[in-house]
Amino acid sequence: MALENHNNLRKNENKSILSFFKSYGIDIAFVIFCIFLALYYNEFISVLRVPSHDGTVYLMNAHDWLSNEPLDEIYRPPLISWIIAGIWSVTGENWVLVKGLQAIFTIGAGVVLYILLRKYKGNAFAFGVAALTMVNGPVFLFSTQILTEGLSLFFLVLSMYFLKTQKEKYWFLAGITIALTFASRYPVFLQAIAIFVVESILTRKPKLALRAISSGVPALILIALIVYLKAGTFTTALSKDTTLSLLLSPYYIVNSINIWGIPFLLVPVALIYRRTYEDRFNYSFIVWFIVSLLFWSASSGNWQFRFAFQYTPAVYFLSILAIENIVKSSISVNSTIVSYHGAIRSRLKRIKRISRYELFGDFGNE
Amino acid sequence: MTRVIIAKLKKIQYWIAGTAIAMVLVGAVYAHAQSKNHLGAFGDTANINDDLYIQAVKNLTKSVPKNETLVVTANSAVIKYFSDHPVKVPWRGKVTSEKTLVTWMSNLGYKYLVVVYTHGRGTSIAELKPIFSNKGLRALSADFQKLGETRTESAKLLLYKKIEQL
Repeated sequence: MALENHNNLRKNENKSILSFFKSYGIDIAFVIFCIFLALYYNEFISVLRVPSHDGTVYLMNAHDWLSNEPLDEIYRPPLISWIIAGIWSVTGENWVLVKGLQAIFTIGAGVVLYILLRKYKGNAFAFGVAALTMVNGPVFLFSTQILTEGLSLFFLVLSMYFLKTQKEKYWFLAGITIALTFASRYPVFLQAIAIFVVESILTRKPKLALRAISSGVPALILIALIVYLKAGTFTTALSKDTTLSLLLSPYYIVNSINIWGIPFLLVPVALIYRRTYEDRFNYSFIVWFIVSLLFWSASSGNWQFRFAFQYTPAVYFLSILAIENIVKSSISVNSTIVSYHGAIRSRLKRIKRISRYELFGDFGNE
Repeated sequence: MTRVIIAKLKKIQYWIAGTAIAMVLVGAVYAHAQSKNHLGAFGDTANINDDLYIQAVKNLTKSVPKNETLVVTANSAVIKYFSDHPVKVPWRGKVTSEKTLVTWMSNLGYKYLVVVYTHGRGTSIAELKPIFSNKGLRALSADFQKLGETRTESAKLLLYKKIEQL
C-alpha cells in the first residue's frame, strides 16, 4: 500500500515536471539564449580597443555634460551621453566602463519584445522574433559600439509594450518612453509616433491617447529645453541629412538580404495573406515596417545598414507571421479537404451512375 | 487514389512551412556570419581591435603644446578625445593639394598635422586622397618637418609641423 502511494506520488511529480517544461520550456530556452548572447557580446566587446568615430563623439559629449563645457557636436541625441555622464559621475571618466552599455539595452529590447509577443502570439512566435532580431548581424555588431541604435530600440519596443496594454497608467508611461526614444535617437521618434497613432486608432479610447500626450509632450519639451540651454540652439541633424526626396531609394530593398538575411523574403508572403489583416495586433508591426522603410528610403543621400536597425523586429515579426500563416492555412486547407471529401465522393458516384445511364439507357441499370 | 492525393495535399503545406522555418534559421545564421563583410567599420580594414592605437595617439601628440589644434587626416574624434587637443579635418573643397593645405593651415594659424594610415590607406575622404597617398606623403616633406612616427597593429601615425615661411 505504502509502495503504491509512493509510486503514485512519483508519477504525479514526473507529470508536474513534464507539464512545467511543456508550459515554460520555450521560456527557459529563451533565458538560456539570452545568457549565451550576453556571453557572446562580452567576448566581442572585451577585445574592443578603440571606440568608433560616433562613439567617441558621444563620449566627448558626455565629458562636456559632466564638466560643463560646450558640446562637441550639438546635433547628437543627448540620452546616451547623459547615461554615460551619470555613470562617470560615480566611477570617474573611463571609456572602458561604458563599452558594453548599448548591448545591455539591445538585450533588454529583446526581452521586452519577447514578453510582449509571448502574451499575444505565444512562446514559439515570441522566441522566433526576439531571437532573430537579437542575432541579426547589424543589430549585434552596432550594439557592440557606443552608439544609440540599441538604446532607441529599447525605448521603442518598451513604448509598444505599454501601448499594447489597455491601461491608462501604461499609456502615461508610453508617453514618457516615446519621448525617451526621441532623446535616444531623433529620427526613430517617427516610428514611435507611427505606432502610437495606430494603437490610438485601434483602441478608440481618446482618453488613453490623451494620457500618453499628457506625459509625452512635457517630457519632449523638457529634453529639448535642456539641450537648448546647454547648446544655445536645438538641432536634430546635419542639414545635409535632413533633405527628403519623393523619389524613393531602392537601397534598403536591394540590400535587404544583406541586412536581414533570407527571412526578409517571407515579408511579402505575410503581406499577401488575408489572415495577416484579420488580427489587429499585427497592424502596428505592418505600419512600423512600412513607415520606417519609406522614411529611410526617402533620404536624398544618406543610406546606411544601421538605419534599418530599429525596424528589424517588424521585419522578423512579418517573417514569422508568414510561417504562422502558412501553417494555419494548411490546417484550414486540411479541414476544408476533409469536410468536402465526403461530398466529392458522393458527387463522383452520382456522375458515374449518370454516365452509365446515358451510355446504356435503361439497360445500364441493374 | 483520391485518398493518396488528399494525403499529399495535406502534407504539402507543412513542407512549405518547414522549408520556411529552415530558410529563416539558416538564413539568419548565414547573414550574421556575413554581416562583418558588409559593414566596413567591423571588417578587416577596421582598427577597433588595435591594442596599441590609443596609446600611440597619446605618445605621438605628447610633444604638441596644449591648446594647439591638430590637423588630422582620419579618426578625428578618436584623436581629439585621446590626445586632448582640438582637431580639424581639412574638409571638402578647401584643401585639394599640398599648396592649398599649407595656405589653409597658415590662414587659420594651424601648425601641426597628423597623418593617419590605417591598413595603408591615408584617408577615407576622396578629396584628400591625392595628398595623403604614399606619394603625397613624400611631397609633404617640402613644407612640413616630420616630428614623429609611430606604428600600431593596424596603422601608422605621423606627426608633422608646418615649416614657417619667412
